[in-house]
Amino acid sequence: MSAATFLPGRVRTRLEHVWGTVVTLDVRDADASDAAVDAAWESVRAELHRVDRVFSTFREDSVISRLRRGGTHVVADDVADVIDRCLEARRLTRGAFDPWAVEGGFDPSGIVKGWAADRCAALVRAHGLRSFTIDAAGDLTCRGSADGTAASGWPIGIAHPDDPQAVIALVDVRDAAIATSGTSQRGDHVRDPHAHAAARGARQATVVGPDGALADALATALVVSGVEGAEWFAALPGWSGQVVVDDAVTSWGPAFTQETPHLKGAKER
Amino acid sequence: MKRAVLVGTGTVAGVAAVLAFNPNPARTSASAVNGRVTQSTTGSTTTGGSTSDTTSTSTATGDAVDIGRGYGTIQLEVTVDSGRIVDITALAVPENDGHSARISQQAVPMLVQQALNAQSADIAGISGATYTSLGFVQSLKSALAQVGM
Repeated sequence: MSAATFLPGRVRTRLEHVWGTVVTLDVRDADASDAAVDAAWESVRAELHRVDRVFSTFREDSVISRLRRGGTHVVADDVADVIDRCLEARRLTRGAFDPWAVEGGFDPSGIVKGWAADRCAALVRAHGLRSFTIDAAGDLTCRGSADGTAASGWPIGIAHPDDPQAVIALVDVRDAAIATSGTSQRGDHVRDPHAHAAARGARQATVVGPDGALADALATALVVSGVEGAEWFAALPGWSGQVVVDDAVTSWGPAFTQETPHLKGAKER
Repeated sequence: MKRAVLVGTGTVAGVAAVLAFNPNPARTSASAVNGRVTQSTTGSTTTGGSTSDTTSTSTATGDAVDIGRGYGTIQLEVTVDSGRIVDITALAVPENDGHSARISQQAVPMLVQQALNAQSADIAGISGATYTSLGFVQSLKSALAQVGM
């Protein structure tokens, strides 16, 4: 029956308020049981709240808050991993992403969301699911495909920085992460870590690539660097990026094939 | 009936994934769409959303969904005609402070348009979108459930 293309219960979503925002799971595996989805989601929820307890800068008792207060600490492997990833991102972006150059001390918030999304995706995979996304308020880790076939990945739109009814590009995201920073929709305020002022390189930046933690950091860094970010971004294998400066859209890498080069011509949705 | 309702729910649940829909409209078979239309018409007559069973227009009010963190609630009214969403009105939007009000002003019209376009939409998510969308789709789902979609 052709209605099988709309398999009952084929799209299953779960939602959790955490980190001051919302994280969702969207499962498209037609053959997975509801019990499997529920079990995967329970493990994701537990991880989301664990990450919040360890990494939140808004919790006095979090590990990160203790680090920010100074002194020497022995930290668990996951905290050490986040610190390593921060060092890596700082090096790759030539300092445009620098969680040590912020007021109040070391703040890995710009990398933790994507890092945790990838960890959650691994948990979901461990429950036998293959086609799903973890969406942390607009930063997505995508696995498998939206229609459960191998022919495509996940068609993800990129928010228009000015027009809530438009997207400026459509990207097929396959087993990758996509992150956008600087959007007026979210009221983001990216700081330039070295100018100690609001970042002015780009109004909005989006990256697509194999790693959620790095995606989170690179998008932020491109808001700082703008078009000149090509100097370091082009050296990253497997990554595509896009920056919006004034009304001009500039992109690098194979992911961006359907965009308009100028916001005035953005695709109406 | 049961099956069709599940079909409709599956489609609407796609909205919950921040406006996720069939990624490839070309593969949306006519029979699948017809099935939703037919069953939704049946649903509207049985839910009493209309005073006459010769019309299939129904209006339903969704749950008021608290989007959390003190931002406020969102609640939608949905009008369905022959299995299609023809109108969505926001009865309440998050506006407990300037920030959430600003997000609402920008996000809600987008979400309304996305939902109205949904039967031909080709986007499974939006990078950089606001989480107001999640409260929106929860309220939308509850409203559509009332009219049998």
